[in-house]
This record gives sequence, structure tokens and C-alpha cells, in this order.
Amino acid sequence: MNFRNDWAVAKMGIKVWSAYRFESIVMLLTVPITLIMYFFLWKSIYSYTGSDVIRGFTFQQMISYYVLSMIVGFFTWSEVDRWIEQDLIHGHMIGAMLKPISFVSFYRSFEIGVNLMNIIWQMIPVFVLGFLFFGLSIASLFNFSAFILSIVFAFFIYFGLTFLLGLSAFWLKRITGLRRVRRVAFGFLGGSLIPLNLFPVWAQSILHYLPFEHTRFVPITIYLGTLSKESVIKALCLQFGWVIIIYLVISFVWSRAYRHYSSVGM
Amino acid sequence: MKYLKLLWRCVKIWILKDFAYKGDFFIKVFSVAFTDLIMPLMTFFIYSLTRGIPGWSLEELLLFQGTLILVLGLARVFSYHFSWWTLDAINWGNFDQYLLKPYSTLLYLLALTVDHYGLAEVATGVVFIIYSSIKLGISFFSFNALMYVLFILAGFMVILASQIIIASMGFIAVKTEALMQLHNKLTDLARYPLNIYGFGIKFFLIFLFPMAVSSFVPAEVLLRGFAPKMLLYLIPVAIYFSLSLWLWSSAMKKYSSAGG
Repeated sequence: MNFRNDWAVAKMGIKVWSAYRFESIVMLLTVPITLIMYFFLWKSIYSYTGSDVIRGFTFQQMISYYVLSMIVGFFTWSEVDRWIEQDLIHGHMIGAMLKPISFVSFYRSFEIGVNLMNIIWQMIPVFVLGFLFFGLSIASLFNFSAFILSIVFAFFIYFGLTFLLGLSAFWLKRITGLRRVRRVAFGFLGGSLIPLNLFPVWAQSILHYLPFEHTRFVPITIYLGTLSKESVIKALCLQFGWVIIIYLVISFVWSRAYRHYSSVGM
Repeated sequence: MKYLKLLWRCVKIWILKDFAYKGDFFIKVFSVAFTDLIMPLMTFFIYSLTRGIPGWSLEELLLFQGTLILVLGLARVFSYHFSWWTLDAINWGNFDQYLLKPYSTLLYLLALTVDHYGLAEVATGVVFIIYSSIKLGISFFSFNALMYVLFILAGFMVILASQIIIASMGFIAVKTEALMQLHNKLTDLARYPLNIYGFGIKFFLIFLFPMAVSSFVPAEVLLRGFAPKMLLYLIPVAIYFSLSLWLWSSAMKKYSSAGG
């Protein structure tokens, strides 16, 4: 592992982010719109149902869930499948392969660079917004530290899964449709639209065996403090286990993709 | 008629182009429909645990959401790529070529940017509308149904107008992609019935950004019946659409080419 190379690529990500900073800042400005929608939606549901708690969530926890969902979403953002597809279609892949950095590290460091900017320009402001206007409470030191570790694992899991999908472009070439499915499916199955507790029990038991909940739901519940200390540690170990599994699968699929790839030069 | 011919030719070209990657074509069709299943699925989960939204049964809300999916699908077919395409043409400096065509520039660009994938979205919306209508015992051979279609078209006009406004702004301030993001977020507000919101948002969705007409009003017409005062909802739509056309023609007049 060469951190100088990684950092050089991460700086590329920072530069690319800077080119789109206006869009990112506008995205930040639109965050309250989504939160306002969920606020009114759940307010009406809670009051009409006449219950203070729905599947373990109070109204305030539900709103905090959506604030945290956005925060985690900004941190775990990845479009690596898109970069891989574009590099393949436009014939730039050979360039990526010739760089003095491994193929996975190249894209990962690039996205880390982008996400570093997301932390500054999106995550922190949404945290502040959540505290000031949407009643987000400050987590205990243990939960906050575990949350930070958890979103780092969540990033690696989300990136790894997206990367795996991107590798399918070596065989399929165009994966625009798959990418669209990925965005929606990962979000929904990860719990970005509604907490996974609200899914039917049978669906929840299936989702426990899949990695998606570790990309959004798990970090959020850690922050909210709805898990015991033992469960938090268990969740972090599971996340780490998923990181290992996904990266083993990546190295296997990548070796196949590399053998399958043919180029017509630079 | 010549615009319809042009539209048909554009659809054929896009389909042929997409068929270069058949697998991706079918996955894209699936993905469009799949994306639209998420919102009703979420509704289903919520209704299985709670009493849901006041004044709306599960089937009624599915009708509401099916209507919105249909309107968004129509907008996707006829206007989704229009603003992107126009903004790109302005940014790359090749907008002039569209001024030289023997068609109205606006209609030509709308035909050129037709997105056939929106038909999958339209189909998904229709499936939900039919399902919920059967469950609710709603007949489509009625005056209410006719007014329902009228309001759906009005809803489509609102989104079309928004796209025209965004594209027009591209002539004034080059970087207006952000407006698109803002538009999408504001459209999200229309994903749930108007009665969950406070006065401010209701006012906004009826008078300033009349998206209420794209789902709430048509669903109301079909479920609770048409009342003549509902026609008042069309006034903000007409104003909004006229504003978009005025902006477009003003932008066209101001446009100056960089040559080429």
C-alpha cells in the first residue's frame, strides 16, 4: 500500500468535487425540503394512528432517522460503477490499469477524496441543521465513536458492492440500467426511505443475511442508541466481516475481468 | 402533423441506438418500472403497521401515487431530457444548429429529446390506477374520469413548464443544473396528499409551483367527485405555463451565438 499514491488520487477526487461544488451546495440547500416532507408525513401518521411509538421509533427518533440517513448517505456516496463503465466505453480503462496503484485502490482513493469534501460541505452542515431544526440529539461518546467507525465500514461496503457492479461492465459494457437499479435497491434495502424495522418481519429476517442494512440502517441505529453496547460491538464486527467478504469477492471477480478485458491500445 | 412525424422518427432513432446494447435496454426498462414500485411498496409497509395518512385508505393512496407516477412518466417521455439537452448545447456552444432547423426550436428540441423509457413509468402508473380503481369500484366511464384526464394533462403541463423554465434560465445563467435538483426536490413534496402539510406548503403547491394538480387534484376528482370550483386549480397552471413560454421566447431573443 502506497499512501502517497492514494493521497495523490484522493486529491484528484477533491478537484473533481470542486468542479461540481455549486451542485453539491445546492443539494445541501435542498436537504430541508426532503426533511420537511418526512416531518409532515410522519407527523400525520403518528397523530392519526394515536400511538407514540411505531415499531420502536418515537416521532422524534423517526425524524432523527431521516436526518442521519442523509448524513450517512453523503458519507457513503459512491458512483464507482459509473466511472468504470465510462472508462470502459471511452477506452480509458487501459490508462487506469497502467497507473502505479492497484485498480481498486485507484477508484477507492478517488471516491475517498470526493467524500472528504462531502464531509465538510454536506455532512457537517446537515448535522448542524439536524441539531438546530429537527431535534437531532447528541449521541453518547461511545455511540458517536461507534457511529464514526460504522460509517467508515459502511463506506467500504457500499463502495465494494458498487465496484462489483461496475466490474460487470467488463462483460456487459453498458450498465446504465443496472446502475439505476443499484441506486434504488441499495437505498431501499439499506433503509434510506424507511427504517428496516417497518419492513415485514419475514423481509427483515432475509435482510439480516444481506450486506445492505450495514450501509445505512446499522450506523443510524448505532447513533440513535437503540442498540445495547454488546449489540453495537456485534454490529461493527459483522460490518467488518462484510468488508472482508466483499473485498475477497472483488479480488476474485477482478482477476476474471482482467483476463476477459481486451483493448486496442492507448 | 410534421412534428408528430419528427417525434416518431426520433423515437425510432433512440430505440435503434439503445438496441446496440439490448441487455442494458431491457434492464433500463425494468429499472424505470422498479424505481416506481418503491413508493407504493413503502406505502404498503406503512399501512400494514399504522392507520396511515388521515382521510386516505391504502387503495386511495395507491390511486394517488399511481396518478403521480403516470404524470411523471408522461413528463419523462416528453420533457425529461429537454432541459439537460438544451443546457448541454448552450454550454458546449452548439445550440445554433437547432435555430437553423425548419421547425419551432422548442418543439424540435422536445421531439429530439423524447425518452421512450418513460413509457415503462406510464405503464406502472396505469397498473396502480387500474388496481386501486377496481378495489375502490371506480368507473372510468364517467364525467369525473374525463376531468381526471384533464387534470393529469394539466399536471404534465406543470412539469413541462418547469423544464422550459430551467432550460430558459440556461441562456441567462449558464450553470442552471442546480435548478433541476431544486425542481426534483420540490416535486417530491407532491408525493403525498396535500392535507398532511401546513398552510404554507399547500399554498406553495397550489399557487406558486402548482404540482398539486399532478396528483392530489386528479385523485380527489376521481375519489370525491368533480366540483366546478376545482377548475380554479387550472388558473395557476395556465399562468405557470404561460410564464415558461414567455421566458423561453425572451431567452431566445437574448441568445447570442459565439459563432461556429
